Amino acid sequence: MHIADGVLPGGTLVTGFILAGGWIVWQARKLDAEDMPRVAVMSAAFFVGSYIPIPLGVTSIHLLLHGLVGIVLGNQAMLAIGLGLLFQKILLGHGGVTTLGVNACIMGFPAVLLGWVFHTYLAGLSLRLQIPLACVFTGCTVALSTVLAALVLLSGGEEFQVIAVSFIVGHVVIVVIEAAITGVVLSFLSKVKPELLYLTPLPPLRRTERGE
Amino acid sequence: MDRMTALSFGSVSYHYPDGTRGLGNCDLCVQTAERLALLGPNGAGKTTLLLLADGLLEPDEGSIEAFGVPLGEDGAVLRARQRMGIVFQNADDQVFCPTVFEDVIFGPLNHDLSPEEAHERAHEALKQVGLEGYENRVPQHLSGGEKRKVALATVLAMQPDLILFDEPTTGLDPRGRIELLDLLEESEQTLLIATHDFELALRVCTRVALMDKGRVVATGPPKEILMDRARLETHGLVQPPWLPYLAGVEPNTP
Amino acid sequence: MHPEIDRYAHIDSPIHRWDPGLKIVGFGVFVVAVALLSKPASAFVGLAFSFLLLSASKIPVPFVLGRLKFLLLALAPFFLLLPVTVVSQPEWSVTWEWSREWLALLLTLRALAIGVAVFPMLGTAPFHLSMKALQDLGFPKTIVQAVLFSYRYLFVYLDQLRRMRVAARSRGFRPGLNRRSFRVFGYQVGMLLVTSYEQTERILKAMKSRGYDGTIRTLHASRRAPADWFKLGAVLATALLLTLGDRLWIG
Repeated sequence: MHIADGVLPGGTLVTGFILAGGWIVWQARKLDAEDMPRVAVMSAAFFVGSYIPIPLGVTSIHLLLHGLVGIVLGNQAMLAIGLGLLFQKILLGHGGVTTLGVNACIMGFPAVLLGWVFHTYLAGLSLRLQIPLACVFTGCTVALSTVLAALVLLSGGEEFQVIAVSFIVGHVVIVVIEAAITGVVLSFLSKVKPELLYLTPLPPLRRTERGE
Repeated sequence: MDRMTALSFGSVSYHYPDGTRGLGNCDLCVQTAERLALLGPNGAGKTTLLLLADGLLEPDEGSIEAFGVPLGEDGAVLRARQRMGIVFQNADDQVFCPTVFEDVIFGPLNHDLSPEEAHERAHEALKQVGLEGYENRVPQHLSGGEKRKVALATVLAMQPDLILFDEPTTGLDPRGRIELLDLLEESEQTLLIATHDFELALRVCTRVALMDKGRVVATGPPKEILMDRARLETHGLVQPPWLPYLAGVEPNTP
Repeated sequence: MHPEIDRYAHIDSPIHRWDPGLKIVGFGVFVVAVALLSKPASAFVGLAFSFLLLSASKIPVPFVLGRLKFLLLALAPFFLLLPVTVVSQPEWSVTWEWSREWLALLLTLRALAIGVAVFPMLGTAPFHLSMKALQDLGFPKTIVQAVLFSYRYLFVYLDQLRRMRVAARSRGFRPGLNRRSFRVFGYQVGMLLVTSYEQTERILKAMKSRGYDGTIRTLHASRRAPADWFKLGAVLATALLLTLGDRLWIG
């Protein structure tokens, strides 16, 4: 799902940076003292999670996990995804630098949307309903990202039609795998660390810790 | 409490959010300039006590005073932290800046020292732990022992009067351990050290407090506490067989 | 063992000595200019210039080429699929237009030029200095700090993942596309998240115990020499020439 450098027209690249960058900066203002380290450190964990190779035939693919990022980090998911994309480019060579904005949009907005859906509609349900529904919605999120990526490719011109369609077809498998593994992770977290799924704001600094 | 008390706990109780008891009606007094070892099995409440002392946790009941000031007052914790430092068990938890120097200077900069003073303190602290020249090193490339020293330097740079340690020798190799014991022996600050390390308690500390099930059950000079094998065993600790020899005392008859 | 961009940050070269802030600006403009090129010939010139910068930085070429293989893999489908047109009216037909391969070539050359340039851009200074430079250039501080924090801990989690994978393998686990494997992968991801969440709590305690109140105070020392500005000028001029040549040349 990471689109490489050099493929997209300048207008698309700029739009990507404006939209993703704007969201990140806007949300970053809302990070209070305790949140920044948490988002950053968990972004590192998500990045490493996406490093796990999943064998697929003769090759292996990597998870995107952006659905999960959306559920766990909510509006800050875009920042986490941006960090992940940056590290994937500079440490592993996946994706691109000029396409950081666009790739962040493709994965980030669906992720934030999924987070909102999860916390608004699914959080109160029993686990037996919540997890399968979350899987379905995660699948939809990945599918949405795939479609967005295809549309972005199309911004390059009608020559990109076939490749955009192939992109969608090729990602059907990924939709299923992501949904399945996200389900396992959610089930695991609900047993081991349920607080992670219901990110409650941390308590404000107590008055004993505030200065004069 | 008088000026000679660095830290005091009065009937302190604390429960973790998941219900586990941290401390139950715990009393403790740490005198200025002493080196007090907190000895106890896992789950006795040693780490909890240290976190409460630094104001990182708030007690359910009881009172905690640092340098004579109750931690419950406005701004008290912030002021106490300027004179107190805590070295955690896992160095990765506290060596979080991009370079060693930035980590060591993090504390001084937060205490609003001038940049020059902060620089000097940081250099001094690195020298004290023997890591001169490590200023620009990146933490992820350091060995466990080196990171541990950096963690200590980050606290020393704040020139605290009281230093709390959580299991400082766990995981160190023999040489690292000896180096740390030497450092602790030479230190001039008041020390409160949670540990399983009997040699540390015997060699470095002036007093030992035995903890079990969330309370301090006994305190006294190291030899008195550490040589009482029966009492140690009652509270879940095993006296190492070499301890009497190290202490220069006749071994207890079984 | 760890994949790191700044593995060669400690050798010496004119690019290494270039002030990180101006370096990033210069390369940034160059990369954008390349991304906007419209002809394969100019993209080729751009690629040549990238290689020139790379050789000036003395970063070994095999290292760079090794890292570029994913890029090439990602671009291969374009060669196969761009020339294909599928028409459904009046009836289904699939045609192959060779002339479209020039587009694939353009994309690839642009991608490679940018891909190669990333190495002298970010590989010639320790990563944290490059990020500090971004902060000095005006990037929001919170975000730069988040990048640095994230970078600090990702290697910790890479190690954890490695240990988990070794442990699984030693218990006979063979990764595959099946339910059991998915469960293992899911647990591994879950463990990484739990560890990071718990570690954050401890990191915050350590930060607070050293006086953290929400702002991270940093030290600045950015001294720029005339040579730094000269290098910036040279790269910007090249980017400009490249762009002009691309637009004006009829070829």
